[in-house]
Amino acid sequence: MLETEIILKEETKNQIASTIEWSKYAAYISILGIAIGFLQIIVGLIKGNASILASLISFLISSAISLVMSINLLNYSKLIKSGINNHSSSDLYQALHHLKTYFTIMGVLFIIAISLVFLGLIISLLAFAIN
Amino acid sequence: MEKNTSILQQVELDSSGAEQIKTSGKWAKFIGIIFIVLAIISLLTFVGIFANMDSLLNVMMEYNGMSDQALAFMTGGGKYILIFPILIIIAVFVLNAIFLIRFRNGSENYFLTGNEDELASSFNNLGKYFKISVALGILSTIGSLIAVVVTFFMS
Repeated sequence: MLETEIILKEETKNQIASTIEWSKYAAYISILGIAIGFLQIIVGLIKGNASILASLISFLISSAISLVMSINLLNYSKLIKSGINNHSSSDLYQALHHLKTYFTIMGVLFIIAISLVFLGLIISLLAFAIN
Repeated sequence: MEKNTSILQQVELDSSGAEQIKTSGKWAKFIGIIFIVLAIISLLTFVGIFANMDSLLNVMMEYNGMSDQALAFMTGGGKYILIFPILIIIAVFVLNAIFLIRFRNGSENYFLTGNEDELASSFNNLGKYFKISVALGILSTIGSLIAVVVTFFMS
């Protein structure tokens, strides 16, 4: 692959660099959230929570999604830093690819959430009409 | 150190990066619009609840039970305490939407006009979006931690 050097103004580099730290913090907070979720499951087990299986399934699904999103944010942060510091186009493009994946996952999650809300609404209306 | 210009070329952010940013921008705009819809729904729900607070509280008291003191507090000045957190939630939705839509518009304008200031502005807004995400994440983490502690020691 042809390696190219990205030419960007200092101002643009500074603005791109401003996202490095905050995207990394967002990823760390998300991972911390997974750890606290795990703690909640453990506490639920200790306290004999009746709905622990449902909680566990919900935790596993949400953790997997959060983890994938966090990894994409961390990769974005790492690669965009390397792309700017080393003027590497391949790193910069890979970073942008991870940013794209992050937003795509979030967008798809929103679509699923909206669909579920509409489905719930339709079921509620049908149940109301039948009764 | 002299660079090997035969394999290292100097270019502006070109079509290889354009596709990545454009797709990110499209999703960001979509998410931004959803945030605006959520803000409107939250506002309408809040107005609806606030306008019928007294009758809602009476129904709640009937089904779930509520002390007379608590009812008097809520029907009095207590309900105004709800305004602050709800306004913050609505403001967060709106701010997130503004930053995400500006991120998309900036990147789109950069590829249309080639003006690099648009790209800088685009990433500036992305940075602001991440800052809000971190702030919300911290609040959510603190809330979850409190919930764990309460569950462990008080249930």
